[in-house]
Amino acid sequence: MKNMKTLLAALPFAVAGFAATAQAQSAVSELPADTAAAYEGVDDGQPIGQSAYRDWTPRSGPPWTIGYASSYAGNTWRAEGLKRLTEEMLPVYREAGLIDEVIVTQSDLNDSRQIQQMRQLVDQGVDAIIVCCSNPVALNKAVEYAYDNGVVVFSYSGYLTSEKALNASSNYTLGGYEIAKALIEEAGGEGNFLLVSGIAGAASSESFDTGAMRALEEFPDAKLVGQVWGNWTDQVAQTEVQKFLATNPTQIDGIIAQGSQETGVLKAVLQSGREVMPISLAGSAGAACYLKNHPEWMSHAFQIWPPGDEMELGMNAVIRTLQNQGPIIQSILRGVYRVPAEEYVAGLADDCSIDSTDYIQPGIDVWFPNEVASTYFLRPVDPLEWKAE
Amino acid sequence: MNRKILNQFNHLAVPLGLVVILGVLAAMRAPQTFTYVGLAGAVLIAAPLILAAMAITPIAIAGRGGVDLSIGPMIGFVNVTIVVWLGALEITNPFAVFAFAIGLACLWQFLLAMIIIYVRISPIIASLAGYMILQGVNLVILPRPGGFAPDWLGDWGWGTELLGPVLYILIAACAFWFVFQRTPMFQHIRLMGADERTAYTSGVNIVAARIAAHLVAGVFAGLAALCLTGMIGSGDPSQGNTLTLQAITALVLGGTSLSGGKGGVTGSILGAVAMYLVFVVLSSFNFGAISGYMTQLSYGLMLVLSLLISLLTTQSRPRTA
Repeated sequence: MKNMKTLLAALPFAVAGFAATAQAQSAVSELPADTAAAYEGVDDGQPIGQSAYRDWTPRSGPPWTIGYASSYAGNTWRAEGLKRLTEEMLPVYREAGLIDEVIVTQSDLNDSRQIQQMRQLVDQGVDAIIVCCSNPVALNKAVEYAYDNGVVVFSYSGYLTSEKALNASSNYTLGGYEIAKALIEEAGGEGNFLLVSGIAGAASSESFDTGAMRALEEFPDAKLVGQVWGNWTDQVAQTEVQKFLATNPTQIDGIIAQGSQETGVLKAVLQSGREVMPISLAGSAGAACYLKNHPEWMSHAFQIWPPGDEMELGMNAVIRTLQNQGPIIQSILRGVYRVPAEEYVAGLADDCSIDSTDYIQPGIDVWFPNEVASTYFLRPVDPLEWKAE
Repeated sequence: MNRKILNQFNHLAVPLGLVVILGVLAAMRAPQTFTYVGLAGAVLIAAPLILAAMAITPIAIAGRGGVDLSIGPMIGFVNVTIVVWLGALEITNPFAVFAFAIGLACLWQFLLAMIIIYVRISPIIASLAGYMILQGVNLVILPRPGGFAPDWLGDWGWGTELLGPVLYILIAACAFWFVFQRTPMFQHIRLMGADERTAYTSGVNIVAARIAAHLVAGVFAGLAALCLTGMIGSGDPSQGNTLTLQAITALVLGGTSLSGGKGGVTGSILGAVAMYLVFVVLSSFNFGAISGYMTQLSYGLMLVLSLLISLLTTQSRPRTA
């Protein structure tokens, strides 16, 4: 038993060791001060060294073929991201002569399938591969295989630790911290809190939780009384929170929830008959509709993973890299976007429904405009105005 | 005599046919699969599933509806402990890592066998409990994917050299099975799987036979965990879980009877290869958002069709007077 404790105790040091390597050659100092602020409290494992693509050109094109090796397709968040890519972005890039095709694969959270798909996409001749939300280390050899064959791999909404990978997402650790802190303050700075995480073991879920725990430590009278995993899916979150509330008569003063599941969390609370306590809001239209009809409920919301906008952030970064604009840093991170309640629900129709599975998204021009995206590149140009030399 | 030998390999006809058909399709749709590097990648990626399917085969042959549901999380358990425990103790010696992986997997299988034999819980219930326990334990040991495999093991993940450690492990595993198949113990396991009471009354030590089946499974599972760790170069608490259903699918595709007594690892290997090829073929199409579902749908259809064909081809004809 003692040996077991020693081994478990050694884990944080091992992780810190990996983190130290990842952070060793930070390129954050090369970014403008405003941009660099987005890296505050970044996940220890997130690579923020110099990008390997500062002066890199693809093996052919334009137009380019893009592979999207998605790890999962079973929730509305993924579907919304894919919809933005195929129905909105692809036609625009096609018309601009930049992309001819996007090949989509799904691996159902299976690393070996995702590795196989990435290698197959490389062999099929794609110029870039986007991956989403994967094990940060497992795909590294496939990334190197792609790099050796002249293909860039971009991870959006998550990160890969390979030096040859590029990443683009929000700073989830900072997001978890800010969201939890704001929620605890909304609840009066004290009381019992429930944490509704994403998928146990998923990197971005754990990054968020790390930040949330950091915030909880700052409030001595705020107590975490439970944690459930909603798999970023409303139905799962609803079931898990229902179970928790049914088996824990303790008063819950606030629920810190990761995005894409707050509608399910809210429904569980309503079904339990308890008074609706503050719940983190992060883009789900169903819960936002409840806010519109009960404006006294919450004063704010956050946008750290709007599905379409995050996809667009990643895809724009891919196109800029293919255009040899020279990404400065391995991970393009966006800071936390907080929005007042009135502004958050302004776009919702009066007859909106709590059952809605849509997302409220600020839009890429607001959430990550071109002028901000440009600060992450050495030779920035609007991707749609770029001309091949 | 010839007919007798042919009958022994009857159950392989369907999986073999499936592999041939899918192989032709893969060659047409994704010819790079059959290049030197393509084959090296295929061996790397398919090895954990092949070995997992091999691992659950002796347990299934041993009967009592012995489907080891814990196989996936158990492979995951060995994976995370190699990365976290051995990593923390700085144990990277290949012999030590091999011994640890195989020893730990055998220890788990031994525990399962003890529960099945002495507590007399149905194997499927015992292994389901094991599945859930290990799923949680893996997340306690390693809450999120990360860490690194020992360098020599992580290097397996390149998958650009066909003649490498992963292929040698597969060959060694097959050789081990070839030898084991020729021992009296294997015959005891088969007899026990076909009819445990008859085996017992015939003097078969059924306790030893069941333990042996689980220990052989442990050897294959340990090798599967090593190949998985080599492929992902890290620890992942949830990755092994996905192997359970895939391995069972490969086992059934390979013609091993879940009621025990019949089958072998050749069928399981063919089943796993067929599953890999389905995936290659499907990945060569652009199904968009539904591509994940297409894979599951194809596995399901393939399974049902294979079972139907097996049933029709092996059904005994009524004798005429």
